[in-house]
Amino acid sequence: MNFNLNDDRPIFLQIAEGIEDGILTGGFPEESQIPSITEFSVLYKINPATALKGINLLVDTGILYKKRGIGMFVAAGAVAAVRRNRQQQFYESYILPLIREAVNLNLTKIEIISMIEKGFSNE
Amino acid sequence: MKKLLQYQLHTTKRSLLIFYSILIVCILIFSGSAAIILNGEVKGSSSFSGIEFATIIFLFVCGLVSFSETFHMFLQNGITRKRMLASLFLYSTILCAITSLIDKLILILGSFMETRIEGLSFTSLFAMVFPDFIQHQNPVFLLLINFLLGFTLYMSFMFFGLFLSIASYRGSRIVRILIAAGLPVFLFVVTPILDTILDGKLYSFLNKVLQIFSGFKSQNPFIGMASFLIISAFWGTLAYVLGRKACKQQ
Amino acid sequence: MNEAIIIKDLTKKYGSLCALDHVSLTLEPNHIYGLLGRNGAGKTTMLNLINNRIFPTEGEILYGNENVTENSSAQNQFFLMSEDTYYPENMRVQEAFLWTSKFHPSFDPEYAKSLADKFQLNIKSRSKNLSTGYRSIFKLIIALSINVPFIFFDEPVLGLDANHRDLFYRLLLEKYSEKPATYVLSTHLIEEVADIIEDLIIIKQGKILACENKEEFLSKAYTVAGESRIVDAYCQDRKCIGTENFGGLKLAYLLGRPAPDTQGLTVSTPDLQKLFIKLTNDDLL
Repeated sequence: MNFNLNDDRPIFLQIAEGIEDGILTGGFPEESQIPSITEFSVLYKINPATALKGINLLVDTGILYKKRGIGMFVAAGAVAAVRRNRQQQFYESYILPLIREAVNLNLTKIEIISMIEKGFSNE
Repeated sequence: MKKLLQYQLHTTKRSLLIFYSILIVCILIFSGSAAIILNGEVKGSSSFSGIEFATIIFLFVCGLVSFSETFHMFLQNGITRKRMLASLFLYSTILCAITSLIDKLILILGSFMETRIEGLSFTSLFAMVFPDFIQHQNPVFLLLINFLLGFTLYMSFMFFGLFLSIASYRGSRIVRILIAAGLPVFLFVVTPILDTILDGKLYSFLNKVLQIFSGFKSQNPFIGMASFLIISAFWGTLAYVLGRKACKQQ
Repeated sequence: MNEAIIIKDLTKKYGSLCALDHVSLTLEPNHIYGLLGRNGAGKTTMLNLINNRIFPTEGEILYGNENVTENSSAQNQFFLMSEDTYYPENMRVQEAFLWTSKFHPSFDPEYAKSLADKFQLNIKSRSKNLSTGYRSIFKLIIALSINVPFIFFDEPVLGLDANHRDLFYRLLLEKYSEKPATYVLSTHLIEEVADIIEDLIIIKQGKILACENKEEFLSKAYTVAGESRIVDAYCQDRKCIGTENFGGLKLAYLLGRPAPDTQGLTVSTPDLQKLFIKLTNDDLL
């Protein structure tokens, strides 16, 4: 989870993504409580309504759920759900920009593929 | 309202204490020295008359400083001008009553000391102005009249100070100079000169007016009290009218 | 309970100078507003009018259907932390706390003392002996410790170092989140408050330039960057409010929505401070 916000993307999206990152890495285990709106608001120095918007985004997609009077919890199966969402977005978020940049730099498809292979062998 | 009064009285507590401490110390020193001198066979007398004048000046100055800081403090705390002015008037009235009471207590103390120390005398303003009236009167009744007279007299000066305070706050720099410098100059320089020019007619006229309205002429203190109350109401009304529209000075 | 402050045609003239010109807007309950404007734009005047420090020349301010001017019950629901200090200069901080609690039942003296500790403010100091920064801290602690529906801050962080500014914003957000009320922050430090505020009010030369939700406001503008020729061509017949040049490259600020086809140009959203600057520069017609 990134503790800094950047300028280019709406903050509530960054909040949502940060929580998703936390879920993926195990920082927010399933069925555990995530920090309160107040804590998000104070940590990031943002309006609570913005924090709420980001959290509600994840409530709508079923990643989080609200326990009345207690707070927000990570839903069962959230890890798998986040991974699935991210996999679906992978093409839009990473591949397309990669190809655009490659075209800018006059890199060919072959060169890109060999770079990918190199990258995987290093993992 | 109670809280507003509490605040105003709290701010004056200190100066009141200092004023009376100095006054009492002075009285003790001078009457003490009279005692010592007399016992040492150097004949003389120590007399205190009209210590009320000191109180008048003190209260006038209290009136002068009562507006600005209080106004700001009340503005900060959401208090309307109407309530502030009501509180200012109530505070002034209470302060004048308290000081008049203390002054009478000092006089009572003084009359005790008179019996113990030869050549020491305390005369109140009341006794000086109304010698005829105080003959053959119940001393308790006289004390009450003395208190009321002092109280109303003090009010007229304090409310005048209050008025000047507000007028000065609301006015432009010219007005402030007029009040701070112009008023004393007018009273102590211009009027004497005018009087000399008019062959003493100005002062004798003013003297006559004062004698009538203070009740001196008719030896009736109630006339004096009424006059002072009217004067207080006059300055109080002007102060109120000016105060209603006061805005924070930039 | 939960009333809004409604401002109608509010005007304030000082002789021929018009500090506020027929301003109308509504302050809703439980929002954080940013009141933004250049020096002399009219922000302090507006705050002073709402909080009964000065009187309007025309127009009115309503709260619960009553005019707020010289109105005790309305003024008891507001609190203004001004740039000027209204406390007597000889008054100690702890005395100010004491009197505030007497005049405002909703003031929390324990909370105020805890804030004084956090800011390292010596509550025995007299107002006149405080530095500019600590005088601001003293006043903002009081404002943060009062629990009324509308709290106004006029330049709250004047003279505060970075650490204290940070602390102030976090305390404000914590307070707002736990005990909602409307907070109006009037400030020059737009970058700092941009993420904190929900709605903004921009005043330019006594008039309202914008009064809306911050996100909606930002969505009404965008930037395009690229080669100067292409940018200029794009800007033709479009509302351009400012440009920046850098060699052969240009960045243009535009109002509206970007065209679907922006070949050769990078489209982006502006940050609030830059947008504000472009909109309030004097060279803008």
